[in-house]
Amino acid sequence: MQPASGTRRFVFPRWANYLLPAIVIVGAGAGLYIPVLLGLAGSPRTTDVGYAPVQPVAFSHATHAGRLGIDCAYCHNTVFEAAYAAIPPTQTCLNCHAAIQAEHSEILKVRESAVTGMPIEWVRVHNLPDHAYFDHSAHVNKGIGCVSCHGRIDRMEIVAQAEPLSMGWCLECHREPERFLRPVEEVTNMAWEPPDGDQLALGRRLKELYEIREPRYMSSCTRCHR
Amino acid sequence: MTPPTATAHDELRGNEPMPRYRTAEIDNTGDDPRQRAPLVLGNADYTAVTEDVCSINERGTPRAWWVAFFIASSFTGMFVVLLGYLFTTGVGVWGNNNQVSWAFPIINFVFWVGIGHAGTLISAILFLFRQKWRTSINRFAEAMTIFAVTCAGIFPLIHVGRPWVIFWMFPYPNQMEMWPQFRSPLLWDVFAVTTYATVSLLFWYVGMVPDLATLRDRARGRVAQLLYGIASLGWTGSSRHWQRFEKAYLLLAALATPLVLSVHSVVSFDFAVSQLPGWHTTIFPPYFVAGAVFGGFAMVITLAVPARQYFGLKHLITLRHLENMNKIMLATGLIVGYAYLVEFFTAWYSGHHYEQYAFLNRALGPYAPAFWLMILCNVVAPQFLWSKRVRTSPWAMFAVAMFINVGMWLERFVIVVSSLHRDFLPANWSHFTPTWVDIGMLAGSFGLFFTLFLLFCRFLPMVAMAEVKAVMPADAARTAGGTHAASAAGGAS
Amino acid sequence: MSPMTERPRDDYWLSLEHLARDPELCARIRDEFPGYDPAALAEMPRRRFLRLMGGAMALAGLTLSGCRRYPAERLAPHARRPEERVPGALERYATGFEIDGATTGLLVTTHDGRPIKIEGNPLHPDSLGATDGITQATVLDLYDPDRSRWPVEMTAAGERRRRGWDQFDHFAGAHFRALRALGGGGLAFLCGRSTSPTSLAMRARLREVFPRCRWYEHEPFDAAARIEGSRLAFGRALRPIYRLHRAAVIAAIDADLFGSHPAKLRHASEWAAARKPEAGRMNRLWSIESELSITGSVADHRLAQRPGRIEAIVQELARRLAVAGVTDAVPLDDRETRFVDRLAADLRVAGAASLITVGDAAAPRVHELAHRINAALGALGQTVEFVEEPAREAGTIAELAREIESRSVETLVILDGNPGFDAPADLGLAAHIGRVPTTIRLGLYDDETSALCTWHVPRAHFLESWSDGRAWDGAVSIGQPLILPLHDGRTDAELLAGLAGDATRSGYDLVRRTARDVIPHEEGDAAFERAWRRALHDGVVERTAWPRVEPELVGAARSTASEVAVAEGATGRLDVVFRRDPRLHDGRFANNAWLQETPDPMTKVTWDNPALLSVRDAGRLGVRTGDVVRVSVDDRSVELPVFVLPGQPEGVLGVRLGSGRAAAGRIGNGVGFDAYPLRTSATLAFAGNATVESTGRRYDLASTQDHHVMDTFARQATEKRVGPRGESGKVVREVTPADFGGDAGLGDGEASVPRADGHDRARIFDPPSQFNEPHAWGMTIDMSSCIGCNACVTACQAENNIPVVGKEEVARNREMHWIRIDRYFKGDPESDESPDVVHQPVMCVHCENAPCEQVCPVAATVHDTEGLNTMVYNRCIGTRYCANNCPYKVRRFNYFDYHSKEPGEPARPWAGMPDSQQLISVDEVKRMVFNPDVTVRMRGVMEKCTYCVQRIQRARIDRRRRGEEIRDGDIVTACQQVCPTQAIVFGDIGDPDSRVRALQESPRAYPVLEELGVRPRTLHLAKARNPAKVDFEP
Repeated sequence: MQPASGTRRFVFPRWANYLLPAIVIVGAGAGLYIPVLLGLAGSPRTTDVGYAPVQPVAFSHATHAGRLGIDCAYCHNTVFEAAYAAIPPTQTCLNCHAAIQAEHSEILKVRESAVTGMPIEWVRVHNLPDHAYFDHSAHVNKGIGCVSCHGRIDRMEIVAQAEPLSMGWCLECHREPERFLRPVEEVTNMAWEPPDGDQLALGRRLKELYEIREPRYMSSCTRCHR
Repeated sequence: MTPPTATAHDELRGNEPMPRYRTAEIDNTGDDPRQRAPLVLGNADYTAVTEDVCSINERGTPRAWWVAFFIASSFTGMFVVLLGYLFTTGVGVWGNNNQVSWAFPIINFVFWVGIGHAGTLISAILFLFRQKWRTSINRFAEAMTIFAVTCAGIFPLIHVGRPWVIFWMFPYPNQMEMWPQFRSPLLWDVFAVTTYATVSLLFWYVGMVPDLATLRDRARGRVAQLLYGIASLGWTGSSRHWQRFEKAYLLLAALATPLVLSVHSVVSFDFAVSQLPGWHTTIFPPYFVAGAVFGGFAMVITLAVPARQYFGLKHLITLRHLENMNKIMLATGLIVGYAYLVEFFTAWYSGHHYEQYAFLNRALGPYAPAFWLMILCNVVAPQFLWSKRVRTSPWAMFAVAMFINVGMWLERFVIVVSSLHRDFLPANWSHFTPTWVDIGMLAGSFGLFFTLFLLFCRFLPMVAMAEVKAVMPADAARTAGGTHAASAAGGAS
Repeated sequence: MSPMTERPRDDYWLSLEHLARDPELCARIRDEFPGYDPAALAEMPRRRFLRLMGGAMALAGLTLSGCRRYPAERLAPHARRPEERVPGALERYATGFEIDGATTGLLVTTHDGRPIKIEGNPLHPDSLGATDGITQATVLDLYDPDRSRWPVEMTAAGERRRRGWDQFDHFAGAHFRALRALGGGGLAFLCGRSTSPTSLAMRARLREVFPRCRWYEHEPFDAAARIEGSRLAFGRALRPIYRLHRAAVIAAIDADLFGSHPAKLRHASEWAAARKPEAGRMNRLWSIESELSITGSVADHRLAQRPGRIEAIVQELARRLAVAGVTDAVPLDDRETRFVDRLAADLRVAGAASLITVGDAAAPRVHELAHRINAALGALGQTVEFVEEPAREAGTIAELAREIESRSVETLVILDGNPGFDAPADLGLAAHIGRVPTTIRLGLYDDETSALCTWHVPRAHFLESWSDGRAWDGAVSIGQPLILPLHDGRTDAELLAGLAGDATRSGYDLVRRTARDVIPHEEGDAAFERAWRRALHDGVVERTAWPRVEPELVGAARSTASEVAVAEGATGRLDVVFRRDPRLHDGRFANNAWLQETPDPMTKVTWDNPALLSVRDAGRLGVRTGDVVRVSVDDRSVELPVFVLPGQPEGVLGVRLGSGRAAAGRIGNGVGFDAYPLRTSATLAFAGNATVESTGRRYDLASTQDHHVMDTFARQATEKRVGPRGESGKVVREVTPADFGGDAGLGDGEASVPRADGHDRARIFDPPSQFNEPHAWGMTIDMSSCIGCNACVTACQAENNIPVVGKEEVARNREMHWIRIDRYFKGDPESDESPDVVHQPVMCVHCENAPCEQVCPVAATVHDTEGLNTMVYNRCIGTRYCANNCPYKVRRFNYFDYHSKEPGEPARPWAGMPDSQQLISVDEVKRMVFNPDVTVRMRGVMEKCTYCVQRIQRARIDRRRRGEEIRDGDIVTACQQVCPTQAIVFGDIGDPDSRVRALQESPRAYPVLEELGVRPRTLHLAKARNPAKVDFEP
């Protein structure tokens, strides 16, 4: 063969020697960085928390539940007996607003619904996947407060999702309910704090009292999936 | 026959007809203790070896290659289309049903994984056992392994009902706080196969580096020089390179060896661990490994015989190599036959009604034809290899190998389908009939396999030049004409 | 679980009255059910539909949508919530369903105003809490998108135009005003058999308005022979009411007591109650029949014989039992003699505790003889009671045909039914109807009959109707609507009221009006109000059953050897026996996919109605299952595929009517074969002298069992597993009262049954857990009670949103039913001895040591702490390894997205997100049948019986909310609830007082495939047979 080939043959340029450590560093870095990034970006904490759609009627929980201190169960009155803490019928609003601020522009929308009988179409904020079955009555009757899942609704002008509502998040409580339990009569109290500040002690007592079962049972698939 | 001269080599660069010795069949299978049988014939020297191997990649693309490539790649195309159909419609496009939940996809998976055994066996185990004859065949045996494992890897991924969540098979932290279920053999599979694929790939590539350097040095086009140059990682053939290379190669061989045995043992667990009569058998691991080696070598023969013929490598892949492989096939074939026998014996001896019926049904039930054809292919056909004339006639052994390829696929069919279709409760006994999609995907996987293999033949060194040179008698080296880098590289060992 | 437990009595019906009266609420609910306006429905965007579904709850469990941010959903609360309406809570209302002139009381579960599940009414005499498969499936009919949605008029030119109700009313108003002037001359009504007080009242009413109008009744399967029989015996039309639980020996003569009798549910219940060998009660059932009915399949002794021979056999039986007037012996062959000898002896022993029952298909004289035998045995008033057969002031369809021919019918009103399809062929009714100037058809579907009529108007489904009806024994029940008519249909009464030009036309008022006369109550509106509410609540009115009568025999039986002998004339050629399809009734349910896919109890064939042939005849004719034969009777002939069925009487070709509909709808059109053309008014029961020849063509039958050709080894293996005749096998165990040290109820219940030989004790490791925290759910299935009626299969399908897969997929063995009733024959199929039949229901047995769980790579199927082998659909990736490893093969895989797939068509590729397929592609109306408590599975996931985990959870939450514990009986699985024989019992096996625990400790209880050591939670109770002593001398 012609000796020329010797000169034309490909050899890595000198700077390529520096490439190696660079590649190693970048590779290792990316190997750590990308999974973490994806993990955070994909987690329900990022995707779901803070979801606050605009509602047809500018209803302020901050005013009603907060300033006026109306009990949650006054409007969501099925919460202790049914799976759904049903959105109140228009009727409920008018119990007060027939008189109070009757001419307010937002209230007019409500009254329209009452007259026409057509529902006010609220946008759903807290939405579980269809294969997860959540029952409000089962929770509130056993001392899980509204605030534990819905956050400080009483401070929200527009309701926003406060917690990720992911499976892992549910399991936190299903594994250690004592961390979240409160007396049943306090479940709708947004501002409740354990009296002596010792949640765990109280939680354990309530766990006994309400006959809440062991984690193995509480975290069985059938608790939530059917 | 005249030793080739430097000028001859120069001519060879052009598309001159090849010298006689590269087309003639020379018998080097004798076992005369007084002289060692040569592994490279036609006293080709280092240069000739380099020439003969590299010229395959350097000569213009032959039409026959294009034809073959067209056929193979169109099957691959069909495979891709069928995958699309599968993903958009559902796994119901196959013939699987409530009773026979696993069928073609799993059969194909096990079949291809099996094929993937010979390569690593030849390159790793025979390397550790200092079997010099491996050198001429290990390269494309390994290539075959990689491609077979590729085909194998596809099926488990697509055979699940919801492939888009297949990543749940891997342990990673997630919002469900769920982990895979580590008691499941399928999970062991995931790890076994991926490990095996990785190590085989590394082993193959590392072994190829010096030869890639040779191609690089001979390359004319800038692109080729660049690509081969990068692929060869700046190999110069310095003794430091050689020292590192051989250490790495040895380590990888040591690493790959146990995998050869482990991977198919684990695959066999998929069946052995279940409680289904006909699957629930302790002899599965050794039986599957033997079967895999058996089928793997059959596939090597299937590829080697035409390849050496067409690319004129008869002096490198000699009859001796082929015969040795035949001997291994015969040996493993006997093991497989024995395994079949033992299965039946255990069933009878167990006194377990369901077990006994499962095997009666295998031999006499609706799928009996598949069973007996399997026996014909895997037990009867290899017996011809007792005769030296068959062992040393390429086309005879090719025929036997083809039988074995068919037989090994049937073996998996018999194990999977005939066991599943009639199990415990007679009321749900059922049948399985493949759909056109089943058959199309099987054909498609072969298309993929051959596409990859053809690309390999075209662009990568089919024979491990460096290693071949290492086992050539020293006097051959002395007659070396040229003194260019590659032969130097080859000779440096 | 009666409505009582649901809520205080007075409340829910108030909201219900609103449902009927309050226009606002009507309007709102109409909006909740957009099907009301089909036009709008057609172009309604999905989003709007979701809004209208009254809160997104209706969507619960619609898909397995994964971890993406879900599409924004709207919540539409009521503007004014009806009292006591709790969104998302289940409510149950009592109603009734009439078929064959008998009404079965039901309790229907509604979810946010959608009826989703039907149960039997425990207070109702014909239900006792159970229902049959057909009733279960009617809820699917309600949401059938193929139902007729608007009136259709046939113009003079003959093309059919869509019309509105107003247009019909306008036409009808004018037309019938004119008719009234004529006193209704030339006006004829054709309707089905009905005992509904309101219907009869409306009939009377129309007779007033149109004095000269005429009424005709038509049911494809009529009881004329039975009534005639009672006339012969007692001189008057009487209806026998069987009391099976009082009988020790029962002879069913061509009587399908459990399959097609209007009171079948009560029969089954009473029969099974007296079949508990360990309790020392064991009756004996003898069956002589010309088909293989489910009744025959559970008989202890069965004689399969040609219909023509039955009269002879019964007469001989009568002679043996010294029935007055029966003197001459009839020549019987050995098989018959042997049978009659032993039956006669057995009856003589049982005396008054014996019962002869005869099916409607049998000849009047057979009925007569049976009555006389019962009398001779002193069984009258004991095991059989009588009530007056309700009078039928109506002509037959044959008479109608003649009338039309004589041009004396000007206007014909056809209420429901489908005479255009199922009328006797010789009448040529289809042609006749065409000749009537004005024909009005009220029907659920725009079907074969409607196509012949000048007007078709949509009928309201019974779940949309106010109605009333009478049980078999006359007990009255009121039917409430569960939902306003989706497709603007009217009830029979509403239409008639309109035609009569009455002021009160609402179904509610009409029913309430008749109720005043029917429901016994003290004077005064208030009193009636109370009675009415109670009737609505209970679903059945006390003290309304017809009074029992004690009839006297008249004269003596004629003894007619000659006539009987004639029946033998036809040998050599086949008798064609016509029976209703056990799945489709007479064909009216042909568009119900659940029923079409229900396997036939005996052949296990779905989506078809093959003609049944005995093994010997098949051999003689040289045909095998799947061959198409041409059956010719006189000049009529049809082509049918053949199914060779063990136990089918030799010389009889069994034909199932009701399939092969041309205008049933997308599901039923062209499914199966129409055999009505063979059937004439002379041969309603059977046609003798038929020729059957093979056409040489083959036809694919989709069966859920026997997917395979049986070779000898397979036969031997099967026999080893099922056991030889009269003995236990590996998977099917059998006992006789002898095993309990007694015979026919004489036993003291002492157990001597071979028990499990301790595979379980041979375990090599200890169970990881007892799975009993805090309960240990388990089940028992009593194989000696199971009659294989398939009700549980359909109930499970309705409860658990189980998809229909279609014939092609069934043929591939991909049916999705969670419950499989394995049917095994024992004995030599070649012999003339009727084979023993075993019905073995198999669903997931919830192994404690479950093979499926160990092999799932993603932990999608795991145990919960109460022993449920749970299947977590959304975790499943579909490797199907679990199914391979399940020894019972009870796991079902969604090979396609079956809910999105039309049963008749192949699955289509879906480009979008796989988990959005159902949401987008499933018809909105169809979607309303889904049970929101159960996840609707998508393509690519495994599923199986869950022990109705949703019911467990509901019961648990209801109790625990109030701080109580679940009690035995709180949880009733869907299959258990529907089972007429209570063969299935579910409960806590950890609770020493639970019913299931007691049964699991019964000596008959055993785990199927015990040797695998998987420790199933479901145990089967061995099949108990009660054969008569063999060593007996006549």
